[in-house]
Amino acid sequence: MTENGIPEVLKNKGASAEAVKALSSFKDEPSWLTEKRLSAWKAFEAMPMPTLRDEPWKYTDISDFSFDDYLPYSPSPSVSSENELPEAVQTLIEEGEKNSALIVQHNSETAFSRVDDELAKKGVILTDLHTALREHGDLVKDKLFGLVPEGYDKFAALSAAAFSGGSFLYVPRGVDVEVPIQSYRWMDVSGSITPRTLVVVEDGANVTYIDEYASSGGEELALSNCAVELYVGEGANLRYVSLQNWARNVLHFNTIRSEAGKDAAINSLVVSFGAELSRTNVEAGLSAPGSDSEMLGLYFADEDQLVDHHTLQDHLAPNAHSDLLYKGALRDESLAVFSGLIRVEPGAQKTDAYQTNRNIILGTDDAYAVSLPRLEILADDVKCSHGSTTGQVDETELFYLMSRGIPRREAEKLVVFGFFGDVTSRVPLEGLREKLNNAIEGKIGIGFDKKSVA
Amino acid sequence: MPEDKTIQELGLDEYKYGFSDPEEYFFKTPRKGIDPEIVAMISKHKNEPEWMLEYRLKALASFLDKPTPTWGGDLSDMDFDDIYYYIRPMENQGRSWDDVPEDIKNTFEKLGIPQAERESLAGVGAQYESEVVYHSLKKEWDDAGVVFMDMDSGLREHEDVVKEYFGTIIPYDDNKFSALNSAVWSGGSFVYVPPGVHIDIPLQAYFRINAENMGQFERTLIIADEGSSVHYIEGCTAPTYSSNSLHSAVVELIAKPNARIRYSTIQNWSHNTYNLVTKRAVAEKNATVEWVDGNLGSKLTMKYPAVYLTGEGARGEILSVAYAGDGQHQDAGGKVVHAAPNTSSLITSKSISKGTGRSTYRGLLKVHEGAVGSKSRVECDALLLDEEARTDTYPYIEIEEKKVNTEHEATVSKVGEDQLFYLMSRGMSEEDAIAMVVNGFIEPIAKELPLEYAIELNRLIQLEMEGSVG
Repeated sequence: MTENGIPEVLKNKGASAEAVKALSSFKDEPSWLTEKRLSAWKAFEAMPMPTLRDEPWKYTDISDFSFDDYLPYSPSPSVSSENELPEAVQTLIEEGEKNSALIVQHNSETAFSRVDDELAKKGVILTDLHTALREHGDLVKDKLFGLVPEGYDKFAALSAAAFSGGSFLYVPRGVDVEVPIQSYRWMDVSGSITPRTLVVVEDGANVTYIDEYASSGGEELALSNCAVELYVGEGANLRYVSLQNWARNVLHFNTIRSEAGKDAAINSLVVSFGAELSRTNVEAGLSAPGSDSEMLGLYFADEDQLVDHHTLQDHLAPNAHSDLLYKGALRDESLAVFSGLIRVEPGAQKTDAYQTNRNIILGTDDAYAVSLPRLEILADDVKCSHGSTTGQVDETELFYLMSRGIPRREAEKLVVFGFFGDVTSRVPLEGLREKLNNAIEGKIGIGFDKKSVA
Repeated sequence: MPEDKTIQELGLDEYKYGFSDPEEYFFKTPRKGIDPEIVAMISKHKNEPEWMLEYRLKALASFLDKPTPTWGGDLSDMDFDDIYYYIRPMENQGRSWDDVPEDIKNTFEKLGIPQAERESLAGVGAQYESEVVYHSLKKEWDDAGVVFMDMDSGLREHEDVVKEYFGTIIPYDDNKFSALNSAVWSGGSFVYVPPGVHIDIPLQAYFRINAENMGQFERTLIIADEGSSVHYIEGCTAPTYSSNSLHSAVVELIAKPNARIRYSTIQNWSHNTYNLVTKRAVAEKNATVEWVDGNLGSKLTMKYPAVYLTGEGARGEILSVAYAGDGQHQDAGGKVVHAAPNTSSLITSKSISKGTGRSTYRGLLKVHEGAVGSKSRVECDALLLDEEARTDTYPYIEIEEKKVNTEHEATVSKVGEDQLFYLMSRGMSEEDAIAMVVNGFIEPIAKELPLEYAIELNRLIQLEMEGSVG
């Protein structure tokens, strides 16, 4: 996509009904979608900006945030092969998981996408949302905005009004996709990126899908506002990974919601390493009997980062199972918030639900960890439990390693690796694990250097 | 168990102590509702010093200014204009049992209190309506310099001490209900334990609401001076009335260095009472404060006893047991704030929800920067007895210090089929088996209470459990 043809109104910071309309017509969208975007814009304007007085935002101060400070749309070139992509993106792809289909969003537009022939023959679709709306409207229309509607919160409303690019993955009934499917969101301007992910896994199908976020960084603040909708049919399996590694000039807001059919299984992993402020809502709807959700989370906050995860295990149907484990490390002046809720609705008997949050505080004393593991149980025949711990590196473990001749700094690294190992070892993706381990090592390295000086 | 037959006949949901005596007032505010005039009238009637009137008026302004909380329980039916804020039943406090009027004696009789109490308990300050009417204190405590009296007398006789501490732990503008209490408080206990004095026998006060639509706003201040120890017991029963009553107490505890305070409550207000209570303690160096808090009655209870650990080595413990039957909401829990090094805390919460009852654990664990070496553990267990019952857990954990160790755990379960099967295979009826499992469930808390209270707790829960199999 070139500069040509872009409506003038999208070249100004902020947005308006006019800008939303222009974006829709620029994308040649059907009228229902234009209406939808406009009503979402209205909802965005009508909703007040959350403040510290609003319970879900009690610890996350976004009072300085205004969408008027951001360009709503940043164009980028579309390329015809992987080796024409920006070099940094090519490196991400090389270091990432081997993939059978790939989509790359560069700023507001999709730069490249590829589906292996074998998958395409089986009917697997991976494309950006605009193409999907044009070519597979019937598959998209009922599902888009179904799980993250404009009324969810202010950022969801903004996403519905201003989304651009995004990805649509469709895996037909019974199709088993063995090699993961990968999506990259790359940003090299200081504007905003508003992708939406829509994944539809039909009955009995299997797939692994990874959303990875990275950027080149910059002086000015940039905005990432995402919405992820995951539909998993009867007996189907989805492994979903969100790997957020934005540069530090980014504010990241993301809402990931899933709906599981009968006996379906969803395994999610949400990783938050980057961004100045990272707020992610992860909500698993156990909406049919026998559904299963494993929810893993991993975060490492340093400097003045704010990392905030709000999770929900929503048990709507009987005999469902959910198991959540979120582990995080903090150092420097960072703040980490975990707020998790297990909600068992009336009639969701034989629910089996677990939730664990563990925080480890490293280095200096200025880090702040908040943990709110919550339960709301409205059925009686259930097994639910949750646990939360916060502490420092275990001295006995350190002592053991040091007594074996390992220097203190190395020993600390090993202990932190072991701490995260609980999470990473549960994800059977070699390339991803290596990426995570490298990132963790990088974070630990800096942290303990500072400490050893002090 | 055949002896339970008569109890069963009383019916499960009918309030056990739901009788009432004819009302006999000495002084009552001329109208319902609250305004500066009413507050001034209360203060004048009590012959209070000017500073207390000013305090009350400041608190009233704060109460009127604050919105009704929208979190926690449902307070939408609460009508603050439909309450008498002060009623005083009798002119003078009873000096001995013989002085206590017959109808009040009758009430105690029905509660089964006096015999056991008079003999085994050392002092009873019983609150009838808004005033303490019966009060006796063992001579040896007088000799040791222990002060145990109602708050109004405390203000008259120990004004300097009251002025120094009153409202310092819970400022009047802490929340809407502390503001209300600070404006219209009446009764409650004032306790001072001199340095090094250990009181072995618990201090007790029974509270009772007896007039329809009458609020009860007692105010308690307990100061345990250096190296002393005291156990205070507050127990409540209230008769059943058709419209909503409000109980809104403020309790402040101060444990000086090396002192120890244990404060036990069994709350059993009738099922139309709003019980909105602020309780907070400060534990100084190496001091210990323990809250033992049982919530069985009321329509809605919102109560989160708090301990601020302000001195090195201080310890706070909160044991909470809640029982929510049909239509009840127990929104209870605890707060611990670690503000000094090497402090430790333990919160244990056990809740039972039955019928359409809802029990909520709401807690805060806060570790401030610099509270190195702090240790804390929060444990919540919830038992659900019916399909429509509900339980929630909202534990806020805020950690600003790395050299700490905090743990939180919660479990929710129903009464186990295998436990029931085992007990029933030993010849027990299903009902008895469930009651036994429930008693086992709350045992960790019951064992912390004096024997007669543990028996009362078990018995009350057993009463509520009648007919729970179905």
